[in-house]
Amino acid sequence: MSSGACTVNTVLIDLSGTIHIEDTEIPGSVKALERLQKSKVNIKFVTNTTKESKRVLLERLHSIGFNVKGEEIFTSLTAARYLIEQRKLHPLLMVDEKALEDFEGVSTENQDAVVVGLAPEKFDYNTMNQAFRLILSGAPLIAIHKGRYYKRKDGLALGPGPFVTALEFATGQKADIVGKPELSFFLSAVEEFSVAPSQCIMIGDQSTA
Amino acid sequence: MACLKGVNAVMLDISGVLKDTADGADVAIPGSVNAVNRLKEAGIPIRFCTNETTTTRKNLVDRLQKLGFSIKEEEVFSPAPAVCQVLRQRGLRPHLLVHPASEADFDAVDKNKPNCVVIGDAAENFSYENMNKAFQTLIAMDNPVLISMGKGKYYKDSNSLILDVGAYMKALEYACDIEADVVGKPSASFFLAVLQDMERVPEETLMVGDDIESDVGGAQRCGIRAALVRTGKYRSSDENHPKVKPDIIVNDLSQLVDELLAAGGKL
Ligand SMILES: [Mg+2]
Ligand SMILES: [Mg+2]
Repeated sequence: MSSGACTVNTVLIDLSGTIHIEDTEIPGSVKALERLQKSKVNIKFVTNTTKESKRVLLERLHSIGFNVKGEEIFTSLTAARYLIEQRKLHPLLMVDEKALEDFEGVSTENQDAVVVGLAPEKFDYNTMNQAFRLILSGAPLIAIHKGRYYKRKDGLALGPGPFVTALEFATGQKADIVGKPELSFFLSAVEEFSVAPSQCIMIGDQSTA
Repeated sequence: MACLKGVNAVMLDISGVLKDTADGADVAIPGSVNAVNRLKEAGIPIRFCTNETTTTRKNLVDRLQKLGFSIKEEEVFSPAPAVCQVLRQRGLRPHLLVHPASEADFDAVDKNKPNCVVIGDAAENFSYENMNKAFQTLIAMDNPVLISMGKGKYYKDSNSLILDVGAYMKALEYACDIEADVVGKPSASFFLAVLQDMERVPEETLMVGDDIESDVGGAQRCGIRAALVRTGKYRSSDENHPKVKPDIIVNDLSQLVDELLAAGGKL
């Protein structure tokens, strides 16, 4: 190995499509992870999720046979929470009920921010107006991601992107997007390790994300 | 005022210029009933140009007459009749995402096997499932056609601002990666149809509105002068808009008519 490659001491690993597909291990990845964990590198699992809380992800990984700890997982929801705490915000949470547990302990009184994930039941007219008025009066708009649509049992269904776009247009405020592939996502994921980006390697299955 | 010299025809926006809405009821903006009368007495032709789509044109006129306004249905230009004309011309059958109270404007239109989506200010009807139906209709087309009645960002209702059709139009544009055809303000064809009806040229016409982009910006792009009123949805930041500069800013319609008549409009 060249000396440049030897300076890598932090590994970021995607979940779905990289070490598992739904409830099935991608062959060899449990073993590969054990070897990594025995070496001295920092490990962080990074994934874009708008619905699944950390607990749900962990349960799935454990049932497949992965030995992963909660603090090793950094999701787009974690990134949103990180941003909220950093800026001491009290958000209106337009996120799925199941994702709410990742925001436990976050104060939502006297709201001064809007967080939008994939949450069809929160994209109703009244909540949209509430979000609109908050942003118009200066609250930042934080988007987990801006996906256009997703697959539902009855066909394609609108993702968070269209609703984020609606709020951006009406208020003239651009959303902060917190998920992959945003630079801030990766920087926040490795912040606790105090390493330079050049010391990190990302392992994933999608070239654009 | 010099900027009003030579004006001898006026287009008036309705919501936020003539009246406000409070708890579902209309309230005339002080001085505006009289202001319309003074314009008419001075012999200045008037048309009412509105993007109102939460009711039919007929119902809107009835409500304004009840408030005391001198207004006739043929003086009112609203998007729904213009859309019906576009649908006929282009052989389009709409899936409607509109306010229930405005559906009657589309009674005569064939809505079987939709080949376009028409969106208006649907208010409470802007539910996720209704937005999704519109989206699924569009995404199933080879060439999705989305027609939007106006593209306003927000308006004022009962002292708070609420999202207008433009926000939901943008959502569907983004979801399908398309661009909507806008009928109503600020589209040039809408203003030009009004000018034609008044038999006036842009240079002698003034548009009065509370929407810096749809009213003021839209009219100015057609060469029509435009006044911004500090009523309705007006916010002080509108006076520093990065792109649009009104020809004149007044407190309300009443003050505008004072200035216009003092500038010698028509008299
Ligand atoms: Mg993946
Ligand atoms: Mg208006």
